[in-house]
Amino acid sequence: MIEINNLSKIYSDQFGNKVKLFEDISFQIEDEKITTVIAPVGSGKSSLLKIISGLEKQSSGDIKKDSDSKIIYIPSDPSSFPWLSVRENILYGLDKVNKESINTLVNLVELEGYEDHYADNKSIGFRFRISLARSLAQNPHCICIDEPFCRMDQLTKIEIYQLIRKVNKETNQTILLATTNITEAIYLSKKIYLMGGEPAKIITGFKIDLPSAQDIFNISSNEFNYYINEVENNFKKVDSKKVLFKSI
Amino acid sequence: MKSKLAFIFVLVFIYVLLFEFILPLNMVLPKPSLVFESFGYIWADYNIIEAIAITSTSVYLSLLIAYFTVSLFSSLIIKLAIEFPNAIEKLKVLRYFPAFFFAIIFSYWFENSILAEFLFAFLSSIILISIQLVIVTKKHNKVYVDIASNLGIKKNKIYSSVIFKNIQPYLFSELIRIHYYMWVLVMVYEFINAISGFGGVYKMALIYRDFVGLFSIAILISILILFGSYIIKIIHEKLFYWEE
Repeated sequence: MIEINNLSKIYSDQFGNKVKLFEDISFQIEDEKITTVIAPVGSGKSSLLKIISGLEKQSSGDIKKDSDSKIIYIPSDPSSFPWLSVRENILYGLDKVNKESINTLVNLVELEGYEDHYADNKSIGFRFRISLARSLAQNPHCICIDEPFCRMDQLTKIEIYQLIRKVNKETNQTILLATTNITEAIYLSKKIYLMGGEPAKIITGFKIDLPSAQDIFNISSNEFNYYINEVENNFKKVDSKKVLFKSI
Repeated sequence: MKSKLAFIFVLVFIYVLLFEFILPLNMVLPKPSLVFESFGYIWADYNIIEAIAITSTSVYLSLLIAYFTVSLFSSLIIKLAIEFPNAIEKLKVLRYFPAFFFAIIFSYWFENSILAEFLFAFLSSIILISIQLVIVTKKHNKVYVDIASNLGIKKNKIYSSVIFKNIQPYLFSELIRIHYYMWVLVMVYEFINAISGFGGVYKMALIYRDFVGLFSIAILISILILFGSYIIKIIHEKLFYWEE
């Protein structure tokens, strides 16, 4: 488990003024589950994920984890190296190479047959698969995925939703997701944390209790709508100016 | 490419029309028929084959070796550009010194020889490519740096295997511009030292007041530079497919 305790981030804007991005952020990332932080644009989701991954420093607060393994960050922009092949990308940063485990990863992210293809000029979905396989190759404690779907088309989004669920189910990989979309958060996660306000805070957390084989095309079910309304109502109480997205 | 060729064709057409038929006697440009004739004699009179061999070898070989040398030290140059941007900014004052200055200084230090010319071309190429590397370092994608440091890659390796790889296509495309400068620099050096090569040929043609010959040599040099740019473009497209 990863415990985030009273995390705050203050940064200096272009005029040198101190701006509080978020404060008193506390929540837990349960092992082997998908946890999602849902928040509107500009509330500091990316900074939060970068802090958890060790890429940025928090202004105050601490992060406790019960494992020394890495926390890997996958940004919203394509991050696979375009000058390397799929295989070279996956192997990047690894000291010891186990060929069999690399083949298993390639199969898991459905890139078999593309091992020697280069990542340049490939779709965002393809490049995301490479980033996911590269992250899994590190055998990390947790993978922080920052708004992965914001630049994908409908069909790719649905494929990647199913891929993330498959990866979580087959490898028990702990995943922390950040998104602005309520529907995808409910579809993918076991736990949702709603973030909002200025500076942003955790408004509330929801445990999602939906059948694990929830069909992405059945998102108009009563249970699904119940969670959507809950998230929306809680968010409106804190921030009525900003919006969270609902449709996929 | 087609529009460029069409533009050149129009220019040639206007030149022939104006200076062959309308203004055959003028002090602006030589008659096209005389220029055409001069292409026959300049090869022997000015030893053009040797000039092509010396100048283009100085330009392209020095560029090639300089590019590999800069690639070898890319990690150090990128480190300086990222960690000491102010010191690098101060070095920019050197660009206000004309190429003539460096060529004269160099010929003062060394005896006139092809080796000295090559050394001058090599050092100039290293400086020009390194300056471009510092400039294009600003274009690197920070996402890749974040990813590499998140994967536990050391800083020096990030400079060479991530940032340099990321900006390499931009750097190589700058070689087209750098190689124009190199032609000018090398010819200025040859002109000052009156040694073999196109600069020396220019000096000789000026002494003979062979205006038509000068004009033909200029056309020949333009064709060589265009050909060089075209080769660099092809290499860029084939080798650096990942430009974003």
